[in-house]
Amino acid sequence: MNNSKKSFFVALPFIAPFLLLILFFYFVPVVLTFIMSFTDMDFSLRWNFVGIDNYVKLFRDQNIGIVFMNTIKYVFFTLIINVGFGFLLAVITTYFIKNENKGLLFKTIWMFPRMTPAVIYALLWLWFLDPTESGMLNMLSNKLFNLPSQNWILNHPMTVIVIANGMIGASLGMVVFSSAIKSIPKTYFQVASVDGASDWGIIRYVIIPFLKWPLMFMTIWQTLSLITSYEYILLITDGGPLNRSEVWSLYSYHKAFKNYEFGYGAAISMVLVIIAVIIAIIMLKLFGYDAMMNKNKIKKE
Amino acid sequence: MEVRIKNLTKRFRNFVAVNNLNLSIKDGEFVALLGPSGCGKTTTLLMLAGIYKPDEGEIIFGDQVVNDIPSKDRNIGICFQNYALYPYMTIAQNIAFPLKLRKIDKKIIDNKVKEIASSFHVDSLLSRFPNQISGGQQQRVALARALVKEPKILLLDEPLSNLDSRLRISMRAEIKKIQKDLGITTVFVTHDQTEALSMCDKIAVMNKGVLQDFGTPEELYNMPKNLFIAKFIGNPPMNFMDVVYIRENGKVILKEETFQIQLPEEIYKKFEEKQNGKELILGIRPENMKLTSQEENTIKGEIYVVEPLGRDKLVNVKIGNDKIIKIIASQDYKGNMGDKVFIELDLDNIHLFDKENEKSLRINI
Repeated sequence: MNNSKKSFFVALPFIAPFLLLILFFYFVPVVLTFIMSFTDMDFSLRWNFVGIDNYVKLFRDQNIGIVFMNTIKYVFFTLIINVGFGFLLAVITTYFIKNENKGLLFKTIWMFPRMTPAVIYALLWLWFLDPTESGMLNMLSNKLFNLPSQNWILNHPMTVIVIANGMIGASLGMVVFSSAIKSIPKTYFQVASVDGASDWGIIRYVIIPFLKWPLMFMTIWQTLSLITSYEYILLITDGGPLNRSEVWSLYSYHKAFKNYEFGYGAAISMVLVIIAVIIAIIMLKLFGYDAMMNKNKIKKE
Repeated sequence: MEVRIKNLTKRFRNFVAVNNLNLSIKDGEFVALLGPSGCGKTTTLLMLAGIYKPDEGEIIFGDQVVNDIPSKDRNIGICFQNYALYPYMTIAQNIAFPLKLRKIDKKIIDNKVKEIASSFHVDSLLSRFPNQISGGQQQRVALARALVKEPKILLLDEPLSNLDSRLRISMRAEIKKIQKDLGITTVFVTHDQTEALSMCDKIAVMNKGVLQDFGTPEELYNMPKNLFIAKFIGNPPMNFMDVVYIRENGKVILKEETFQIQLPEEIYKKFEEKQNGKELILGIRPENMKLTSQEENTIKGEIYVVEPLGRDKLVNVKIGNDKIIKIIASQDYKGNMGDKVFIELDLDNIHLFDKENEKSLRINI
C-alpha cells in the first residue's frame, strides 16, 4: 500500500460521517433528480419514463423567458448589494471607524438578519411592506414625503426581493472583507498616506488590490448560492404577482410541489445543477484547491 | 529642512508613550532615535509622519507648525522595517507610486523612476515583483520609493532589522552615503546602538517615553549623562560596580567589598563632591582597563573565561564571589581560566553615578 492510500484510510474514520452526509443529502438527490427528469412523475409518484420530453417542454414553456430574465436580474442586482455593499460596510466598519468596539457594534447590527430565522425575517418584511396605511414603509412615506399608501410588493416585486436578499447577503461579505482588511499590515496604509494617498487613494490602490482574492471568491460563491436559493422569495412574494418575481429555482419548486409535476420540476432544476457544476469547476481552476485552503494571500516580506 | 519638536506628548489611553519631548534637528542632519522597544521612538516617528496626532506640543518643519497637516501634504519619505512594497505592483510601479498620486505626466514619471532606480542599482529589476527579489534589493527599492518624490525629510523605521548581518553592515554605509549625498534631513529609528553610533550625526536616546539625552555619538559614548545611557550604549557594555564614596584627609577612595581605589585630585575634581559613605555606581568600559600584576590601587580577581574576538580578546574576570567584569585585552594576551589577575583602571575614563537617581556625577556636562 503506498503512502497516499495509507493516509486516506487513516483519515477515513474522521471524514466518513461528513462523506455520508454529503452522499445522502447532496449526491443521491442529484442522481435521483437526474433520473426523475426523464419521467412524467406526478402526484401518483410513478416512475414513468418519457425520454427527453421534459427538456423539450422546457424550451417551449412560455413562462421560461420571464423566469430566465428574472433570475439574471435577481442574481445580478443582489450580487451588487452582497459584494459591493458588503465591501462598503467592511471599509466603513474597519478602515474609517478606527475604534474597534464601535466597528464591531455596527457589524453586529448588520449580522442580525442573518441570525434571524428565515420565516421571521420574511415576516418582518411583510409587516414592513404592508399595503395598508398602517404598514411601516407606507407610514414613513406618508409622513416624510406625503405619498399615498401603496402596495409595494405588487408594484415593485423584484426590487423588494433584491433588497431583502441583499440585506442578508451583505453581512457575509462584510465579515469576510473586514477580516481581510484587518490582515493587511498597517505599514501599507501608513506608507501610502505618507506617499500622498487620500482615503480614496488608499481604498483604490491598497485595499482593493489586497482584497482581489476575497472579492473574486465572494462574487463567485454568492452567484452560486443566489441562483439556487429561493426561500425569501417564496416567503415574501411567492414569485408573484403573475410570475414577475419568479426565479429559476422557485419555478422548479412551484412546478414540482404546487402543480405536482415532479418530472418537469426535476428537469428545470437539472439546468441549475449543470450551472452549479460549471461554476464549481471554474472556482477550482481559478483558485486552486491549495489556494482556497491557504487563505492568506498577503506576502508580508 | 529644519525640524523642531516642542513639548511633544502622546498618550494611548492611560499609557504615556511619549512624554514632553523636545528635539531640535538641523537641516541635513542624520538623527537616530535610539531606545529599547516600547520607549516611544516609533511613536515619535509616526507623529513626524502625521500618522499619529500629538496630544500636546508642536512639531515644526522649517517655520511651519505641521500638527494639523495630513501626512500626504507633509512632503516626507518613509521606509519601514518590512519595506511595505505593494506585492501586486512591479518594482517600477512601486517606485512610481508616490509620483502617480501627484498626477505627474507619465513620461516624467518614467524618467524619474529610471534615474533613481539606476542610482540605487535596482534598474535591472524594474519589471519584477517584490517577492521575486532579495531582501537587500527590497530595501533599496523601498528607499528609492521614499526618495523619488524628493522629500524634505526622510523617516526610517528600523530599516535594517530584516537584513542578514553582513548585508546590514554594507547597507549601513550605503544609507549614510545616500543621506550625505542628498543632504536630506533624516530621522532614523533603531534599537541597535551600533547602527546609531555608526550612521548618525546625533543620537536621541529615549527610555519609557522620556528623552534621556541628545548628542553626538562621541558625547553619548564618552560622557553618558545617566546610568541608562551608559548601560545602553557601547558593545561590549560598560561594567558597573557598587561602591561607597569615602573622603578622608583630602583623599577620595571608592570602596567595594573586595577592593578599594584611590582617586587622584585631578580625577575626583571632575565629579561632584559627595558625603562620606554615599553609595555610588562605578562604571568603566571594557577597553579602559588593563590586566597587570601590580597590586597597588587595582582590583584583584580571577579569570573566569576568555573569549577571543579575533582582533582582541574579551577577558571575563570574577571579582569577589559572583561579580563578573569584562575587559578587552590584546590578541596576544596569555591568561588562562583560574589565573589570579589584577585589574588596573584607566582613571581618566571612569564614570560615577548616583545610586538613587542614577544621574552621572560628572560636572559640566
